[in-house]
Amino acid sequence: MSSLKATDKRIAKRRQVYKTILSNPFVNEEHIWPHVSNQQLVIELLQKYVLNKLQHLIEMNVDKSQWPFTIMTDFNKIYKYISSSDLPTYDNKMILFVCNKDPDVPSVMLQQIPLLTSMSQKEIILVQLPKGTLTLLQKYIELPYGMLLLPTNQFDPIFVNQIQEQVSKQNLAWLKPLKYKHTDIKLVKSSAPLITKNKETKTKK
Amino acid sequence: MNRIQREKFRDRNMRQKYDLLHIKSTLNTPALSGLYLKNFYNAAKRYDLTLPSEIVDSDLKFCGNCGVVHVPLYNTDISSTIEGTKEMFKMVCKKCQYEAIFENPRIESAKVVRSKSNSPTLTATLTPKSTVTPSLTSNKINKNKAKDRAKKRKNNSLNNLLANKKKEQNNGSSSSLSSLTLESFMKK
Repeated sequence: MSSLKATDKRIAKRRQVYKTILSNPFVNEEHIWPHVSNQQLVIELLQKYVLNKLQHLIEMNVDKSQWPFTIMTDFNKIYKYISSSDLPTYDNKMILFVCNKDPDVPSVMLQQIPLLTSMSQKEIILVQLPKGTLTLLQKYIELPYGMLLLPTNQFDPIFVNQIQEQVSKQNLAWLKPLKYKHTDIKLVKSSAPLITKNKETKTKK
Repeated sequence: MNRIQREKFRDRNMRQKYDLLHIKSTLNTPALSGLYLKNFYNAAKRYDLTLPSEIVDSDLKFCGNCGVVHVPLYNTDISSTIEGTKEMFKMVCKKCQYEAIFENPRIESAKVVRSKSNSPTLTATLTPKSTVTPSLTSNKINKNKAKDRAKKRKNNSLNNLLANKKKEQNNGSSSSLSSLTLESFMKK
């Protein structure tokens, strides 16, 4: 029989760890938000190409309808824009900035955004912003949902490319089959060899 | 089965159930998804696993009525309305028309009245150093406060009070010692 001290030692040797049970590349829930490699650069780009221009426009009191670019911040509008299928092709690419680390942004909505962007027929670059960006952005523009959608065709292509380089691609394997409709094909027209003696006919499906 | 094998089995089992939940939505058999979801929850209970709130919370990841995984644009419609100081998110399951409504406090609109003197400071806050330093200093202040409070607490504890008194008595020269004598006591 081992002494109490020995058992105590044996137990103490084990440490408590937390293992991820549900994580796997199929559902890929931990990487549901695409990785941003250089967050500081992304913010600087955003500041240079978007926020500074916004500031000028607001200072000059230019009406929102006459801005040289469109900016969407309302959730319903963004949802509609992303889900609509009748946009011209040049409007198909967009960048969606989301302050997903800030505590004020509703988590219910945040959970659905990565799914939304990967389900969309359009090319959406989803960019997560670091913590505290919401207050920075709100100095320039009101963000009622912590989201900022920019259609790329109205912005400098350098800006778009540089942002795209920083963001990894979304990879949610389980959503891929959902993007396409099921085919209704049951029979495919094909050809079969002519019957020779007693051999059974082979029909290709 | 020994312990390691048992854990491996559990992990594999849970992972498979979780994957099945997600595949279900692609197979066009929504009637079964509720069953699979219940099976998954039961397994989690049996293995004594605490699932994160994103999975467990009702109506959040899975539809509260039919149990299908919410996938916007495919089987769920999301809309938002603002009512006073609250945001209402409505998720409608397209399979069973079940509506789930979430309330959130609205993000405060911090519309800053920008003056010209204000603008340079705004741009300055962008550099990494300046964003880091305020948080650090605020941390320091907090830490100091906490330390002070801890010191006070220590000083106030009974043991310390007694120790202090003893010190005083030891240092406090003969006067305090003499006070023990009857005469000095009478004098007082």
